[in-house]
Amino acid sequence: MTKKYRKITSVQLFFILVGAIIGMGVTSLPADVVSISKQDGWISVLIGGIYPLYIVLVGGIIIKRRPDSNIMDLSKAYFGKIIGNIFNIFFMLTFLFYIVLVISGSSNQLRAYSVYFIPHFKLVMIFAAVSCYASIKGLKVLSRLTTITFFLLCVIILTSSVSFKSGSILNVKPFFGAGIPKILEGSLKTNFAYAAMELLLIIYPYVQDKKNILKASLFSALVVIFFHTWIVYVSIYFSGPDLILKQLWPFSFVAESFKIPVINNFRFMEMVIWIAMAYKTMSIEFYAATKIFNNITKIKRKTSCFLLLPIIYIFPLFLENEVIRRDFGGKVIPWITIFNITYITIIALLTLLIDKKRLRHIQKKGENL
Amino acid sequence: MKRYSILILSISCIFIYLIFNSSGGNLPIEKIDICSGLSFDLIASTPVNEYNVSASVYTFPKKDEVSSVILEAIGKNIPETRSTRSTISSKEFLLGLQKVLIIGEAVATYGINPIVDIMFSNQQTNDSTWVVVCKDKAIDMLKFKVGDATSSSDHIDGLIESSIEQNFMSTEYKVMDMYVRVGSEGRSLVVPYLEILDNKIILTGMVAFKKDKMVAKIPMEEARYMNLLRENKVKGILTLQKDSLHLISTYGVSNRKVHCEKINGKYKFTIDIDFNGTVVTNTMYKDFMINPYTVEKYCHELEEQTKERFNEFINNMQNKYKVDCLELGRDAAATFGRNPETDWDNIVCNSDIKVNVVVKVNNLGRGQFLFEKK
Amino acid sequence: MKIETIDSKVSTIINALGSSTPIKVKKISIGKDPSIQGAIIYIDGLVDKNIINRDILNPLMIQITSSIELNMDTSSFLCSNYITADCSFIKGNTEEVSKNIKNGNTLLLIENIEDYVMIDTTGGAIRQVSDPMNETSLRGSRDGFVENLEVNISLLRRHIKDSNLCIEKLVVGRRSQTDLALVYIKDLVNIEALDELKERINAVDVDSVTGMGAFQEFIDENPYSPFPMCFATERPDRVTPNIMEGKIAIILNGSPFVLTTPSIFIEFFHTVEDYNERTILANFIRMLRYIAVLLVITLPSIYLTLIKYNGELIPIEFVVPVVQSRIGISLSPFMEILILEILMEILREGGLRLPSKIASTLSIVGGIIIGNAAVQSNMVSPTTLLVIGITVVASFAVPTVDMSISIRFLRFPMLFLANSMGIMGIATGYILLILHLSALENYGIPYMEFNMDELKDTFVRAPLWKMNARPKIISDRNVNRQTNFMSKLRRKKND
Repeated sequence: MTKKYRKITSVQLFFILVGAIIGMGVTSLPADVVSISKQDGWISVLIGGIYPLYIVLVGGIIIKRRPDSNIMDLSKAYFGKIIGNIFNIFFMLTFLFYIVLVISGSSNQLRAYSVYFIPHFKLVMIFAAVSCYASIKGLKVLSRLTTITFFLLCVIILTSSVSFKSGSILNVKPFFGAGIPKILEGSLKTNFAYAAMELLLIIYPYVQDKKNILKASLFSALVVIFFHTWIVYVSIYFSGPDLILKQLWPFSFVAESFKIPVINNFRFMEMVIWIAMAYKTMSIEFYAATKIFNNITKIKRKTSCFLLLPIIYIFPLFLENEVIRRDFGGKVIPWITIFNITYITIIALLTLLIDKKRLRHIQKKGENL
Repeated sequence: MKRYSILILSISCIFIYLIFNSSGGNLPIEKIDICSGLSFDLIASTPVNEYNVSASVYTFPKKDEVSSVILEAIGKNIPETRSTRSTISSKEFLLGLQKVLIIGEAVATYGINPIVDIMFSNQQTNDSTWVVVCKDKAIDMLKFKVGDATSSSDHIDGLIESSIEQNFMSTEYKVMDMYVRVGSEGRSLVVPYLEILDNKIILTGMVAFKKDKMVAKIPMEEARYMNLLRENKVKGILTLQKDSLHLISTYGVSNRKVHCEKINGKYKFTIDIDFNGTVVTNTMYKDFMINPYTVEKYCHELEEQTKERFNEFINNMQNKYKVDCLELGRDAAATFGRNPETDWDNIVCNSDIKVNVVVKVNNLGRGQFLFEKK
Repeated sequence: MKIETIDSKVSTIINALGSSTPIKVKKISIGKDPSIQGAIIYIDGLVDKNIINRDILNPLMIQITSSIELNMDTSSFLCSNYITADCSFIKGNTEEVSKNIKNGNTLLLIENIEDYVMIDTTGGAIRQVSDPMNETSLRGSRDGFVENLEVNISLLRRHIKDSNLCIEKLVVGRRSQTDLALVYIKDLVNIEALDELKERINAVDVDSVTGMGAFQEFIDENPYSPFPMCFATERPDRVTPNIMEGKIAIILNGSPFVLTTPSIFIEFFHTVEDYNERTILANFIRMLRYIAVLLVITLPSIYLTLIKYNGELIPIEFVVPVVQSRIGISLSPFMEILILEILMEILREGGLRLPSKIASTLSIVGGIIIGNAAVQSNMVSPTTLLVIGITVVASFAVPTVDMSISIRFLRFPMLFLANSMGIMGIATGYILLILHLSALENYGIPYMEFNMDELKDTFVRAPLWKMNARPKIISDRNVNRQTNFMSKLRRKKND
């Protein structure tokens, strides 16, 4: 019984992947895209969805060939222990980087919106502590958490549809008015929003029904693309391309305009839901980072949570200013995306080419979650 | 170690709680001034103009009694008025619950960009505050005592909110709409204009802004038609009156569609207005109830009259006010492409605007008292 | 046959039972000319004296007219011909004999015969099967469990006549030797959970098990969690569906509460009424219950946050009344709410144990007079009192007592979190709560997990004829419990 329940089902994989990608950062996504592609920002977001789809499809090749080992073991097998470990360290650093950006971004947004009185370092301390606690619990607990928060996300998406009453289609027209080159350039800005899909390659050995992995992850990629497009579209529909550029977090602006009879201001509920989203994203990405660390150094995963905790506590302290954070993120994220894409493509190609027999000794059984 | 783990856990919990509780010098709500309305005035002086920003706050002199008090503050810019205000108030100031922003004429002509900016960047403000412009000094309107409400801002709040029933007024005069319209391409801001006449606060017309400066005051008779051309799904009364004894009034809802074309570099706008309503009073044609042709005749006559009035207003708008208050630039930008550099006011004022009106009567009420069967 | 006088046999048994326990010994003569010496031993108060007189003493002393032979078959001869009550034979094991006597059986000793004859004469005063006091229902059955193990098992047996019903008897407690029974259905139950449960019960090594609550703690897997791990109930009509789902019922002698394990979070919010009422009404009531639970945990915290930190989020219509009610209040909002909450808890705790006549006075004095006086003396504001009152009323809506205490407890940490961090505190509190609940596991079965195919009976209840499958999470053997019989009942449309 306990052995069976240590693995996650493919439905829970779907929730985990959606939860890892969509976090509090989607509220600032419209501002980034609209600055380049004006009112066609939503088309750029749609096109930018190629990135997670690509990772899922390429990952599907790896999963089919090697259903029981994860990407860290594969890289050690193909590139040798030392170089493979160096790549693994880079991979772990990408996840840590994402977490640092997410923590500082969430703290900035919260301090701007409802939690004016808590200084930055205290917020970072809480975020770091709770995500450490959550990732100690393991993958199964995280999957249950993401199942619940997925429905909270749906609540926010539904309430944002109220903007259809006050916005107008004129804000989004003319379609394709910005020109195809600008739209393509704008889709490069969506990289950070679609990041963390590589989580799939770390956790796929723990899924119970292997044949549904590809279906679940494709579906999760599609759902993520749909949610992002909807968010950007609704923001443009409501505020118009000129006003979006003046806001730091356009989607929050939309969600606030939802008026229910007793509670005039929806901001309260919305903030609670965004905080829950933020916790969820951080916990999962931290879990991924500790998993890779565990694989490299063979320290027990629970101890490695405490070891990596100082990193996610100290670095967000430097990004207290939202402008510095966006600038820094904008410079580093393209390199990370390129690294991820090439790394995964190379591993997939090597998986196709190298014979299965030579690597049987790498395959592990029943690792600790 | 394990024996003390509970002890360590509880002590660290208390410790963490104390760390967090020390932050915030927040006062509970009874020690905070709740502002119900703000007024902005300009005092011309050198070298920079001074702003007089006053706030009307609630006070509770006795239990179960609420009244309001004005806190006046003068400063070289709007944030400085906050500093001045805290020198005279006994409580902290809370900005998030105000109902109305009253902008004086002087500030409106000078430019409301500073006000929009400070409201926008402050996350505590309430986005559904009404924005109105008032004649002369705004602080007089804020100080005005009304009988049925605790302060004039409550009264104005009720006034604007209930005005959507008539005069084709819409609800889009809030701060949220101000953000969206000032500075966006092809959009322009209009707000209600209030005056104090005969010891009452009266809504006497509308005010049109070009970007962030007020350029035109439109009296209510004309403003009705502007509203009808500008907004969609608004309610009001249209009257066909031949003389003081013969008139027909219809109260209905309007439906607006805009088409825009570009012919030889010149823009041509066609506005289609559909007006569906109930006949409220009829002292002209006696056979509405049996003869559908009379109803049609009336509709045509009303259409002609309305079209005439519309064209009058459009003429005024293009030549006298010289601003695009009908937001036609927005439709043009949506059809032909967006470019923040275009000056839509100029283009609209030089373009052809044609209005088509269709009036339909879909309800006659309970009956027609002056019905005569021939 | 071993030659031994009746006196020495009696003294052996008395030594085995414990010389300080008073027991009754009656020496009888069986048969006439010559009569055999015999003795019956029983413990007064545990036996039904009518059975002893009618079924043992009367036949043996009076109705045997001839002499009885003393040989190997004497005991079975007596049992099958003269003793009309139920008999069993034990050879040589005085431990088991003393255990049986302590359970209310009577021992018949015959001189020179080694067998110990145990006659079933259990009786003694036990409570009648009656309406369960703590869990009433409007349309369900009115019987509840009592303190006697056999009666409880018989109540369950009446509901489940499946031949796969399995009843295992165990003993816990070194000195109290309390009887325990595990009831489950053999081909539905979750085998690993059953094995682990038996392992845990056998590992319990205590002097005495005082009641079901103590026993629950001994076999608990997560002792530090505020949430109840096992579902305890007094009603057979709640235990029966649980057994049908593949759970195991634990009945302890001396406690009217029956446990069913493994239990999940959501079943603590279900009542018997849900299944006895019509579908739509039952769902409406269930929704009310969930809203009440959410209210209990968060309403005071939200109120505190709005007043203390985020005044601009208060709905505009409420601002003036709330502020007006707080003018001149001497305590800070946090202290006010905390003091009122603690006062309510003290009132509730006091009202539990008082006799009913004093309890009504307590509610009037405590609730109305003190509340009123607190408002008039400007210690608390009326709005706060209203909020706390709503919370207390809502907390009555949680059906199970165990869960209701947990939910009421949870609002205190939430209050502290909201006081220090505002909205952040409420969100953090919820996330920590969800994480804690998701990490709890009962014998390998997750405490809170929502699967898509099991949503038919979690938040809303699908019509009973649609619930075709047993919840897989408990046990995935033999999943089908119903078929689509409703389709046979539909009338054809073209009649």
